[in-house]
Amino acid sequence: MARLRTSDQQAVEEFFNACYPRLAGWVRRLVDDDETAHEIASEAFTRLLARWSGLDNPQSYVYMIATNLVRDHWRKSGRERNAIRVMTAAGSAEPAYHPAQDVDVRALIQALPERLRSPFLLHYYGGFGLKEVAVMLGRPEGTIKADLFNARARLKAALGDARE
Amino acid sequence: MSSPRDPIDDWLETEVMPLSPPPGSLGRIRQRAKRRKTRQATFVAVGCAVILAGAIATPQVISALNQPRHHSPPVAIGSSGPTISASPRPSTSPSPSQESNKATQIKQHSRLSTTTSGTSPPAHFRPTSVTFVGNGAGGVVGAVVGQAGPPCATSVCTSLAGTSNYGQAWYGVSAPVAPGPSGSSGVSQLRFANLRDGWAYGPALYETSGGGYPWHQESTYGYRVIDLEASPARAFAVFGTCYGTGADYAASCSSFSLWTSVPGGRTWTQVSLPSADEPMKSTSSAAPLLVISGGNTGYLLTPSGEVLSGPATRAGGPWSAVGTAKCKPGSTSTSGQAAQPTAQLASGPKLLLACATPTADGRRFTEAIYSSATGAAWQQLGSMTVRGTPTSLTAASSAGAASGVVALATTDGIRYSADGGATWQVAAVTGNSPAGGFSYVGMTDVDQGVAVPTNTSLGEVYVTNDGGKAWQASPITS
Repeated sequence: MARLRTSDQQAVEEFFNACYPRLAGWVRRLVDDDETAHEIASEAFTRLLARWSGLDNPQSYVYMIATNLVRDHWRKSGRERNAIRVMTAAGSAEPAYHPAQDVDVRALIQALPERLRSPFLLHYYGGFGLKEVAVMLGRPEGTIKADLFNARARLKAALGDARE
Repeated sequence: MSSPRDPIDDWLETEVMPLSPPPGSLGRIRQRAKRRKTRQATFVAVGCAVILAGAIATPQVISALNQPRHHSPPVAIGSSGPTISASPRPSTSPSPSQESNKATQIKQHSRLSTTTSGTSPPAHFRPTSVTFVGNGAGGVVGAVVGQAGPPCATSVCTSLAGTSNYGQAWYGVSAPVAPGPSGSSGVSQLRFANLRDGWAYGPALYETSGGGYPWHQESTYGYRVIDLEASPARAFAVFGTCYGTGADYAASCSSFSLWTSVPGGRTWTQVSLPSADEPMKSTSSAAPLLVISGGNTGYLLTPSGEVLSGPATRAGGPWSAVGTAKCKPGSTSTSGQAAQPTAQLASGPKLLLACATPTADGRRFTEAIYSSATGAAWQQLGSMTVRGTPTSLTAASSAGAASGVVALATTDGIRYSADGGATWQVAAVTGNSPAGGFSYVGMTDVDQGVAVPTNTSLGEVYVTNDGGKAWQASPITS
């Protein structure tokens, strides 16, 4: 048993070293803020470690947690933006876009329904295969495929509208 | 007019820039996780104490209430309290579709047989791994794992087939309810220790003690199973910490460890290795190569090129360093096969090592063959130039013979040697070698052998009955 614990400690350290930079970079691209990215990545790893011994797929778990935390961050920051606009009563109608070049797409992904957003992020951004995403989200692989197709179609349509 | 580039594609194709953790991050995360676990444990303990207190108090209340004038109904004490018990580590919960599929697949209880199971293999079988075991009467029974369909009975299409006449015909065998390899889930490889006890693995791990039914998923403690070899007495497996996604489950591995289990056992224990090799670190994602020689000695070629050896008949080892090989394992990709041409390891009368070096033009490989009795001193037996990337090495010999048949699979075809590896010839493949060559070759004796094409959609394996000289397709059909 002690040996298993030692193995777990080593596995945790190796997993952290291998996965944290990419996960944090992944989150940064979605929130465009290093500090928030570190907060979310750290929180995801904290939740992962709190139940490490019960997991067969830590990578899927930590990305799922991070995806949910990013969603919460988006919701919160959206509420804050709205509150500031109401309070100032003179808030600019322009959204507070960050200067990153991919902000249009990010904002549109943020607006995707949850059902489409999670598979989109996990597959296209997290690099998970269709089967893995299907297992992670507990949906049939065919449904994930359709969700990805619908997500891309919505993004393309929305991007076209936004740029007209 | 050129069509405008899709901004979605632009966005998706932009590489994610890694963001290194601030110093001390892991320590802080560990402390936070520990505090949370403590809080959760405290919460559960408090909850239990409250329930226990309630249970103790209840009889008193009841006895007070049970005075003749109250006539309160009796209460079953503790019947609703939580039950806390040590339970095996939970496996990944199957998706609803897998649950519903399970019922479908369990209906067909087909097992490995020395004749036939009476069922046919599913259509469009795409084999990824094959194994043969003795049938107890001097012959062998083979089993192949792969994906089948469309159509397949369920959306989880991992399938098994068996053969009792060395590939002349195949019959259906029940398969684990698992997808194909994808990241840390699914299976692609197969080994049996005897007609009953077998393992489907790579990257997940399933065990059967019933020759194919039922299958049980086994915990791998979060690791991926990269390699597994079985002897009649014991199985050994290389577990890896890997982050490859999709079918490249054995890519991007940072470290490996060796584990063992007995046939029919449901638990795996870690094998003690020399401290310098525990865990086996890999900077190039090169995976260790594992062979079992003569059923009683195991050899492991580590990513650093060190040869470890230990008893294959008992769990505790000790495994120790016995020498240094002439080359190192290559990095791994799909199905755990070497992506870069370096070492292939096999066991015959002696250990055999094939070391591939690209030629100057980069189009071929010079393959040097070495042998060693114990893994310590290596002697070169021969060499050859091959066109494809070497993928698998195998050897077989007659009892008491000093040398035997050796075969090498490449992405271009199969080479064989009838003199233990000194001289080599190109094997004849009926209908020409399949495009992409072979991902695996294994000789079960000096006459018979089997090879798995890289292109699994061919739906066949190849067999030889003349010591590797000629290979014929064996479609996975009844």
